Amino acid sequence: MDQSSSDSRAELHEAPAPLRSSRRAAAGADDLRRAEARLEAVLECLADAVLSIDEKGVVVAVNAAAGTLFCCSGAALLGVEAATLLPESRLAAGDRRSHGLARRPDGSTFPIALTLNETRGDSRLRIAVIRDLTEQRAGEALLCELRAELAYAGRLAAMGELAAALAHEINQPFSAIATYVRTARWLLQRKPKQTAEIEDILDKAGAQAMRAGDIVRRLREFVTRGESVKTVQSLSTLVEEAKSLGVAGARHVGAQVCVAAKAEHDEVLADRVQIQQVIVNLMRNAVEAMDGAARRELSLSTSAADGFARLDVADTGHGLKDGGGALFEPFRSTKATGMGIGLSISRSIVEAHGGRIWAEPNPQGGAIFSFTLPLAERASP
Amino acid sequence: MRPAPLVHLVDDDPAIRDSLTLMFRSRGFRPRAYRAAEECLATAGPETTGCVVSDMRLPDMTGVEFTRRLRVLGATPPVVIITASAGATLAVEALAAGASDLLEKPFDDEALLASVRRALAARRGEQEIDAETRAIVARFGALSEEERRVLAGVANGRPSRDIAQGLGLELRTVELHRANIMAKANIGTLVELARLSVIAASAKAGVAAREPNPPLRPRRSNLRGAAAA
Repeated sequence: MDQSSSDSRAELHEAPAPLRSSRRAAAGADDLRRAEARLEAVLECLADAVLSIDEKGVVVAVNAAAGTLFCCSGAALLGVEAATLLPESRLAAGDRRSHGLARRPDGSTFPIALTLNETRGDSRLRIAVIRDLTEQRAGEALLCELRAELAYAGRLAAMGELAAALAHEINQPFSAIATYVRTARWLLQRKPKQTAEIEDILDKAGAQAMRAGDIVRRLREFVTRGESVKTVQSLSTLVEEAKSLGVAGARHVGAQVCVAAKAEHDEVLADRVQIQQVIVNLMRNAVEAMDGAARRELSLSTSAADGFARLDVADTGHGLKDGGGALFEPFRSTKATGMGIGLSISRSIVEAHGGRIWAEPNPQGGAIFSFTLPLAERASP
Repeated sequence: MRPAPLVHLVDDDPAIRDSLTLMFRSRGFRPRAYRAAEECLATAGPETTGCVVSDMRLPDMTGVEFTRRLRVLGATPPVVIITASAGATLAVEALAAGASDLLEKPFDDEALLASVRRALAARRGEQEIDAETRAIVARFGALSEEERRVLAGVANGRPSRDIAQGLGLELRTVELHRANIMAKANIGTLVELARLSVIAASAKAGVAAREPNPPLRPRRSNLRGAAAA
């Protein structure tokens, strides 16, 4: 410990600006000692670890926090090569500020923010200020987890509200299958020579089974509590997939759903289910807004520009109340049913993906809800 | 030999239209498919023959409204409603509006064929009571007088409390009757109950034979009279 304190005193001789000015004011030894004591007190009460590294890359002085962060006595860090404690690339690169992982003498690692500085004068020392980011990262992870939980709860609620419409949507292909299969069987019995027609009918039954299966699969993905995984997806593909759940409600009010425009290159880095949740949400809202309206048209358009992919969901419904400012706040529903969390969850999902969501009046009556997502960096061709 | 009867299919789902077209054609009918009620109404009039098979939830109106509009145009073909999302209220409403039957998707195609044949026979004035109708009448034959009165109320979509008040019975008694009716007639759902009671009532009263489905005449009075008789 003696060694450490004498070294930190040594580094005081090359102290930064405010101390130098005091030195200039009075060159007396008392002043110098006072300045040293002050600097030492500052270093010792810092929560960040401060390491002094000599020209050979060896740690020559540490403060009290260094021992705490690296889980050892401060003395144990002296004489150690800095590169074994800190990310070497960061030390060499000479970045003043960077993030990375620090390694403790016991081998464990922890996330840090690293700030580097250099002393002036003949014997140059590098000063590494290390902030432990463990708690911050845990906070971020918790926030992410909570957001995923909330999104999951939102999906369950949305599917609960859509249950009747979905049952109807799944019943349609089943009904067609039943009729196809029975007709094929009847033909087999009465007109067994009509094999081409029977085969055709059975193919159609198969296709309807796939249609029903597709809806069920999307539904299952939607209500499964999955880990949030981001992959590169085309936004228009996500729209196409979400449509099979989103249109369920549309049939209920006799609304027509069309894809008005489809972007060419609209790959985004996204959690597939969460973005589909936003799309289903916007479609449901649009459909509900059109219940009882004279024109009931829902149009979906995707586009890509300025580094963002964008989806516009336009309806011809009752439009926005009060300019729609509070729309994305939780529990602000204007609908008779529903909790009013759909849009606030949608906003939290879109913003967590680095995008933006908003609403504006549709020039043709009704409203347009839009969101953007940053385009994924595309691999060079 | 009669010409193959027309079946007007109205459903916005292409797979339903296609499968039913195939089914009806293979069974000797002349199917015509429409995507929406207005498409069918545009061609309908007093001269319209055959039977209409319509989805309950059409893009432009409900099957109930469609039935009413057909009658307003003077088109009298019987209407069989098919639906993927039935409720007892909806079933009662459809039957009251003059639909001759209501089937839940997915349905047994034999049941749909029987329903269409029965409706067409009734329209021709033939008391062609098929095996299913006979079975239905037999199922309701086991009911007591009071159960019949409760059944009339249930088939009209009235809640138990209402029926109890109307008949001067205790709520518990009505609920017990309801359970007994379902058990005796071997019926699982209220939709089935509404539908079967209408078929049984029209077959018994012979109303269908003499005066098939008078336009715009609410079916419920028909039902009540028949059941109380």
